[in-house]
Amino acid sequence: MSGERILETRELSVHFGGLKAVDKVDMEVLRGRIHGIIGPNGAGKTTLFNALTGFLRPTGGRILFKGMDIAGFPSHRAAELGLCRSFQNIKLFKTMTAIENVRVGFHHHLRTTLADAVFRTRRFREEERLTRARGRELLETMGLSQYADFKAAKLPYGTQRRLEIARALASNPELLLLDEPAAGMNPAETAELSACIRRISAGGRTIVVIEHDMRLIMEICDRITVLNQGLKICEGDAETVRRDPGVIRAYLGRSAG
Amino acid sequence: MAETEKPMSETFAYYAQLTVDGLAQGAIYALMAIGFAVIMGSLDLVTFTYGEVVMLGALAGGYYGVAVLGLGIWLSLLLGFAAAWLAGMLIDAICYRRWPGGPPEVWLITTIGISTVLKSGAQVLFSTEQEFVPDVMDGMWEMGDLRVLHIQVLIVGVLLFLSGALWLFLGRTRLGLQLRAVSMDKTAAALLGVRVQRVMTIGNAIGCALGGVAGALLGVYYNSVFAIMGGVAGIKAFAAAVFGGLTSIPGAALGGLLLGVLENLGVDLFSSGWRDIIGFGVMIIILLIKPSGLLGRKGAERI
Amino acid sequence: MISRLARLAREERAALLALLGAALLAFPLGFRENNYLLRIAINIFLYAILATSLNLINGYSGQFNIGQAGFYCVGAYTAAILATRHGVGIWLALPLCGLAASAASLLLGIPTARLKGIFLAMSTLGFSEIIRLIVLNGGEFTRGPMGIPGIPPASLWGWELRTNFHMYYLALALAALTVLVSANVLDSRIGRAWIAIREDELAARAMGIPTVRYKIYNLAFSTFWAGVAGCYYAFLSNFISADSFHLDEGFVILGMVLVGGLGSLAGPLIGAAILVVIPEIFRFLAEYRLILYGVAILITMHLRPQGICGGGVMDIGDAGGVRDGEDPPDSGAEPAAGGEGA
Repeated sequence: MSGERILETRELSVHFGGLKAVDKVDMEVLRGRIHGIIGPNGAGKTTLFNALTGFLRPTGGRILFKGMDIAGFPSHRAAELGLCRSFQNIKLFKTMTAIENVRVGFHHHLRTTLADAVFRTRRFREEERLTRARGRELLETMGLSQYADFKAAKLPYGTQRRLEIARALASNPELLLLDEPAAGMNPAETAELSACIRRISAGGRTIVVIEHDMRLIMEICDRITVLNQGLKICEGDAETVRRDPGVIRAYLGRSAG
Repeated sequence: MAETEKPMSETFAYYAQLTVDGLAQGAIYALMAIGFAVIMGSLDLVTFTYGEVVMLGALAGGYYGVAVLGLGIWLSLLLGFAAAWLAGMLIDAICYRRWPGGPPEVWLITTIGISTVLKSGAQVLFSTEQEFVPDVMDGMWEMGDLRVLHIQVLIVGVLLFLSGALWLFLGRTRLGLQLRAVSMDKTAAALLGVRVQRVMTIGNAIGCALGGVAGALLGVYYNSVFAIMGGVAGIKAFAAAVFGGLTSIPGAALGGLLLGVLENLGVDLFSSGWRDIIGFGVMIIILLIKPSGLLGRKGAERI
Repeated sequence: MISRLARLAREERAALLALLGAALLAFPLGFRENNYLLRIAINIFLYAILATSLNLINGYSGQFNIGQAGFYCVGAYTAAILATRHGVGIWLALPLCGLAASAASLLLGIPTARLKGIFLAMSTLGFSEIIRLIVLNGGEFTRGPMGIPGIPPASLWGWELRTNFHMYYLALALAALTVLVSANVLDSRIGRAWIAIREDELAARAMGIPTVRYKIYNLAFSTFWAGVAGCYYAFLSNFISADSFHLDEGFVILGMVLVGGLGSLAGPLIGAAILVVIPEIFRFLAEYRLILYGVAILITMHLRPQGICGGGVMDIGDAGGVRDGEDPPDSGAEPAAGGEGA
């Protein structure tokens, strides 16, 4: 299956009035790969994510996910289709425990109805058991087993970031979008995260990651898209990006040019 | 409704009259809405107790001022202003100050708490009945079939005077400018040396005081005040203010006038029991079509 | 003190519940003729249903509804009309009234599902008042300000449940049913979706929860119980009028939820018990009943904003005693000693 395009944007634009946050971006993400998106602050990375996951309606262009145009779909549909994300500023369900957070992620895979819940039917009991067990597995994958029963708000920062990824994984996405997963992490935590991302990728999922930590990006990504002021200025593997004069200019500003 | 087969000119005069009455009533709503917009919009204070402040203004100005003490209209309005100002300070101390910038739900809850106290307190201490307020002026001008009461002119005059004063205050005085600075960005204002807490306290008091005057006018115009008038008053102030997106003062004024006219025309169409339903209905409809207000701008959700 | 009690309650839950159940079942046997006490108990159960129903919204899905009295009104009038004009008995009326209230809630919920904070609060308030005004101006159908008298007593297999003694057990059963069904729904993917919406609506959507739809479900489910309470009230008092469904009634219910604690199952029950009993203890304060409710809300917000059994919803942080739960290993936080001795 590898090599096929799972996500594609064609001339994708998001404009706020006169501000072109994302402007005619063409991007291809191949199935099974880890795809990085980098760019200076304000380059439009998070805006691009928001458009991909239905939190913003693009002002132009198309988003093809497995060949289907999903531009403008409501955000909860993205998860149903197999596209799930984490957030730049952590958005956990704070008063819920870690395991409950993950169980919410299973939501759209479950069929429990109101009547099932009221009468505790077999379907209800089976689904509850399943989400509990699968939730524990996911916590373990992300190295969070020991935190299962603590409230999310109480967890250390880096742990919260990993919990967000675990929660996103619960929705069993084919494409996982991570928005600055290493932000605020120390080098040890980042290394652990990098291993986690590789493990997830090895499990067959496609990952798109926005990150400022160049080391991490260069280390894990098969392909990198560079945005600057809403425009795609470069796309290729780590080596290509590193040598691209446009990228160097964008990052170093005028002093280089 | 005896309006069968009336000549054209009479029908016109009839609706003109409804509109004039609606405008006078709307001027009171406009004043309420302006006070509400000052509290809500410019200070980010979520309040639920505004209606009770209006009621206190009506009790102080309308009942004690006019009916009991016989102070005359101007002193009575001043009394309503002062009483509501004090109520505003009290509300600030109990409901807001403890949670600066706290979640708006807290302010919603505390102000619901205090409005229950104020309303029931007024019922116990004042009266559960509707109390009579005598006319302060009974003259009118007649222009053909159209009659304009002197009190109606007075109401519009008070509205114009107070909104002019507010405009000058916000635009020309140091405190007014600080108030606007706080409304735009509290952190930046604090960095510039503005005492944000104090400015919010005063802004809240000013908004309340305007509501108090509106309450006193309500009492005088309808010749009655009662302890439970605050609930409806609060919803109407909100309905009018929401027209401008809660924050806009001109929007609130326009919303108030419009609400007054709509209500009067609506009562003509249905019956007087439906007067308040129209107010609530208008509010809900505006909230549905455009929660940010017909004149307001839409704030983007941050992710 | 309060947190120690809470801990005890957590640890010995089953035993305490059994004890409480037995006590509630046995209570009226000793006071069969004491209508005063039975009425107080009935009021507690009735308000427990209403407060639990409101808590499902304000406490769990985190929306701000203050117009629950309107749905209570819909339930009561549906019961009165069905019973006096169509001869429907209480057992059929109960679910029908619940459904009627749910149906009415769709009129509010569908259009306002995207509103938040004070906008939503004012819409619910306006809607509640519109319902009352429509009832008041409803002509023959609702008999306007005269109300509907002559609602026949409830009956069970031909037995008339006329006394407070009987109605006590009915109220107890309904309250227990409300809490039980709510607890079951809350502990399912549906309840988790509601809580997720309360905690972070955007994240909930990103996890595939259609938040708008779930908020509407939440309102409909909650108001079902308010309708049931209204039905019970109609059969209890034989006469209803729009006066019983003022906005104040909505505030009373809200006060119970806040004092007891948003987002916990026990909270609304304890809140209902406290706010029904206190005015009875201070009977000389009868006139001040509503003032007492307002003061109770203010005191709660100042001293313990999360309420007596806080479900972690109103944790504001600066008001002491807010710490709940233990800290995880190596989180660097100091041990949760706060609030223990206080």
